Amino acid sequence: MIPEDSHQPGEACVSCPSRFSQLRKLGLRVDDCDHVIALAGNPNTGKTTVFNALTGLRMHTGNWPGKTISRAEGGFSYDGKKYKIVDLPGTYSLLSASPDEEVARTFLLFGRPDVTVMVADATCMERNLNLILQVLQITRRAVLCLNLMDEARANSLEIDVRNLARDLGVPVVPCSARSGQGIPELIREISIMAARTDTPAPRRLPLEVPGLRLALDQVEADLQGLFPHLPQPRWVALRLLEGDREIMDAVLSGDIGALAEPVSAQYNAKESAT
Amino acid sequence: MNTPEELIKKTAELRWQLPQNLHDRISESIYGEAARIAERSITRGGTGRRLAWQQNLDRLLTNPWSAFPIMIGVLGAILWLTIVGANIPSSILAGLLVDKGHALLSGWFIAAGAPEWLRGVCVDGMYLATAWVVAVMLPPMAIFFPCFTLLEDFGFLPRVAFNLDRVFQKVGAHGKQALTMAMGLGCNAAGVVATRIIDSPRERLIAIITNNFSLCNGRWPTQILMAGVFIGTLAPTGWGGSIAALSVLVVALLGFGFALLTSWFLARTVLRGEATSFSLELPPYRPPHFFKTLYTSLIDRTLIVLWRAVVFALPAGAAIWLSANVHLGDQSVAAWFVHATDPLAWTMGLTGVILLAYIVAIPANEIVVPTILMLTVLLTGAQGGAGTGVMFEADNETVHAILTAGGWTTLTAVCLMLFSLCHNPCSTTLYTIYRETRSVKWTIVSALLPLVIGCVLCAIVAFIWRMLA
Amino acid sequence: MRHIRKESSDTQRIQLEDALKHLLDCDESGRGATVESLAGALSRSRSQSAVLLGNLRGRGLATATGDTHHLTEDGRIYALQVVRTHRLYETWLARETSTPPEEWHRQAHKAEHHLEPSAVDAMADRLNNPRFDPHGDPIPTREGDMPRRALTSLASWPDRQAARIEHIEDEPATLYRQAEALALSPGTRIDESRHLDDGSIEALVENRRIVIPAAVATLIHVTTPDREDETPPDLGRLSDLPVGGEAVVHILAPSCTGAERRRLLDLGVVPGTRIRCEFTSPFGTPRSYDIRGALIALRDHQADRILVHSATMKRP
Repeated sequence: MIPEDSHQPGEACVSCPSRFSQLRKLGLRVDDCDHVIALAGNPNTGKTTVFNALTGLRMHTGNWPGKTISRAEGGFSYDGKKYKIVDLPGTYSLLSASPDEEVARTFLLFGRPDVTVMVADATCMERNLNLILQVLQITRRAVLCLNLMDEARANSLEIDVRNLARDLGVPVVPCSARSGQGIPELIREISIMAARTDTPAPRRLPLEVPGLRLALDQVEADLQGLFPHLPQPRWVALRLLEGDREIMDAVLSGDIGALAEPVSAQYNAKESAT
Repeated sequence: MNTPEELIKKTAELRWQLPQNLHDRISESIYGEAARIAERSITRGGTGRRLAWQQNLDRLLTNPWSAFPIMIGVLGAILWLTIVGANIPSSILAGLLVDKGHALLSGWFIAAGAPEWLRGVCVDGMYLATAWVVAVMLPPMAIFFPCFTLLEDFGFLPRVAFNLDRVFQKVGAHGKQALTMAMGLGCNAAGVVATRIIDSPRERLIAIITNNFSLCNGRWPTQILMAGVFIGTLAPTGWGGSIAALSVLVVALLGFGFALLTSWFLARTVLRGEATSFSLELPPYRPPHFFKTLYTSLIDRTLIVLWRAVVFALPAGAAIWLSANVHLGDQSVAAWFVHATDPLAWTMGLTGVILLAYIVAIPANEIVVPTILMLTVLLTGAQGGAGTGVMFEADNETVHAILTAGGWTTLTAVCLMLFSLCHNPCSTTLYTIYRETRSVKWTIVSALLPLVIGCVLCAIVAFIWRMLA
Repeated sequence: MRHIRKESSDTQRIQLEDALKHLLDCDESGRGATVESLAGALSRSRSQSAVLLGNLRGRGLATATGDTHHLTEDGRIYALQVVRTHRLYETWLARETSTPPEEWHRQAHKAEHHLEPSAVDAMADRLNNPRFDPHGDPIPTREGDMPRRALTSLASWPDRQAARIEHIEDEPATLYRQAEALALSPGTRIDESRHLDDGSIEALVENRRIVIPAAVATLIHVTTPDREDETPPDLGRLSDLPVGGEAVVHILAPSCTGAERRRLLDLGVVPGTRIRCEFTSPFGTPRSYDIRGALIALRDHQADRILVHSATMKRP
């Protein structure tokens, strides 16, 4: 349920501030794009507002968790490159077998977006970090969008952005998507991340669960033996131990090996996988 | 080196050695790490508590003494704004689409030399029904939905759900059902879509099935007209308006009661079980962006709902015209049907005309009253009207005269008001229910449950009324 | 493998499959199945029971040595598939539906004879291939793998020794309902247990002193708790927290299961989380809590299942 494309390319865009001059909004034009961006985050963090700010679409957003129902797609272009954005369903976690979480998990792993933008509510970071840490186990081609910074400031929360970025190992952009603050910086970080040719190793999580470390090490080692260039063997091992059938099938069929190819070379595979 | 099959087998064996509460432990572990990261980078100034004005507002909105007056006041204000505010644009639209547009289109068909029946089906049937739906539906929805959306954006609605949850918990439903029901006051189809905010399937289904008991926009006009024409006239001079308004309010509250009752019934029979995952997040209050909200709610809710209504109104218009103009023997189809169903309708305090009007108006409740008027004139030969199979509206005195000529009494009006509250949802809503549930069974239940309740209720009221009279 | 499915009438198949399950039970516990034991388990006459056993032998699913019967390899695989279906179905009911616990066994008992193996596997995948059912029983894998466990009944557990419930037998249903009413579930910790004169057991469970009837205690199998941390002395429930009060989560009670448990974990209700009660609704429930910076409304029966201790203890 996405409204018709409201801006044609080249059409004067009255609602865009001038600092978006480089950003020609493309609305739904998502064919033949150069990069695919995934948007992940908790419900009610302003994910859809960020999506709208990036694409110029006007999806309804409410102050209410769980407003985004169908997976929305949109696009924009910046600096001569075309980006396709996929708004994943808002979830609190990626651990369970609920349909929403499965959609998000599958897209992040097999869709292999060039960049995953994690939208977080700066006013309750711990809960958002729960999801962020899980995303970072799958991919570190990610940018953290620290949304609702105005509210965080009003609540006298101070966030050391540089420290957080160092800790997480991904760029962190503070912004207030409702007023458009920080969106140009976010776009810049997205384009820098998208242009990277290397695949940074996913962040490892210390899982202090008795008995788990040992099992995890064994399965991880075996996985690396089978698929030497798999970027996230530890996470895949964890999913196997959690009984995720989709991952089991991918291992049995060898499809999981496709994840070892460099990101830039697998655009067509990405299309068929999604 | 091992094979994938061996790896999977090994994993299966290793799984038995992991703790039973693995999922809990992993969540705990991730949250532990999240807390450590947050501690390193985030410093909390001040009290570390929520903002004072937010706390005070919460206290005000959830306090037993202030919560209910505020909630009722806000709902009342929105309804008042919708009903009163929609009058003027509605009559302008009706003037344009129904009066001018209809005449213009008729003129074109005649000028083009189109056969009489084609003009009837297309212009008097399909066009007129659609024009009516647009004129009646668009203005109230364009007022109601943005108001609702503004409250939503501000963060008021989650507090309403919070306040009313206990009531819904008692009947085995979810507090957020309060919101979907309030949404249903605007349009049941939109209300059904809004049930998506309820994340446990059982409670969501209950909310979908009972949404029809929220008196929607399409049915308000019927209620208001009946109350004004029949019930208001019973009151002493000067009080007519207030009594009429009160009777409409009683019907609306009755709908709320029925929704709770059927929720209770469903939760204890077909949809038995304990409440599943309840979670309600109370987001901080955020000043809404007025114009953005106006725009998005217009696109998202109003236009989508309107579009669906139009799609369903087109064939209904054709059916209405045909029923009045296709003859079987010496009578029109409509007359046949009305005469055949009159006895049945009598037991329910209604007339065959009302039943027929409801059947042809399944697609859109807005056209019930115009259809009733048209059919009554057609069958009784009363003065007024706009021609065979042509729907029309008139002022209260004319309506009273036409309907009394059709054998209507106060009982008929009361039963019509009840029946209008309790009958199957319009086809737009039914289609939406099907789309949301993907189940023919629940769509049928949603259609029949209120219908059965309505028939029984009307029959009981008619029986008692006649006993007393 | 499942040739009984094709050849037999529904009623006969159900009887044969129930007989197979009884033989599996007997094999697991080391005693052999006899005509008498089967007649008792299925509430049939001796002659009916003898015919059933003969039928199983004829199909190569069971062998007899003297009076006692054992499963053949084929019989064991078949029986495990039936058990798998039953336990998975119960897990599905517990996690994905709102069916009350006392209904689980009856519905699963019906489903175990009718679900196709492919449907069962699909159900397992949807649930992330769970290892244990809601009663704490291991679910055989699709390859027919199930660990044997040595179970100790609570009735024979030494007094005053801490225990953790590992499994609760779901039959007879009336006794299971009693265990359910006492909020006992697999994972529940039992402290300060003590045998009373009539054989019932008094114990401290989730900070409530309860008496477990002797008959119920025999259904409950326990083990030594693996979590080192002791039950804190000031253990309470989140629902007891006054408005404005703060507490730290000790653990989510094991009786909180399925979607509800997952959601609470997702929201950050994990051991060590500090929770503050902010305000209540006009009716007293739900109440709103500040959980990790977000305001979450919880109904009282949910808050009842969140065990907390006082906030003065240091956060890990």
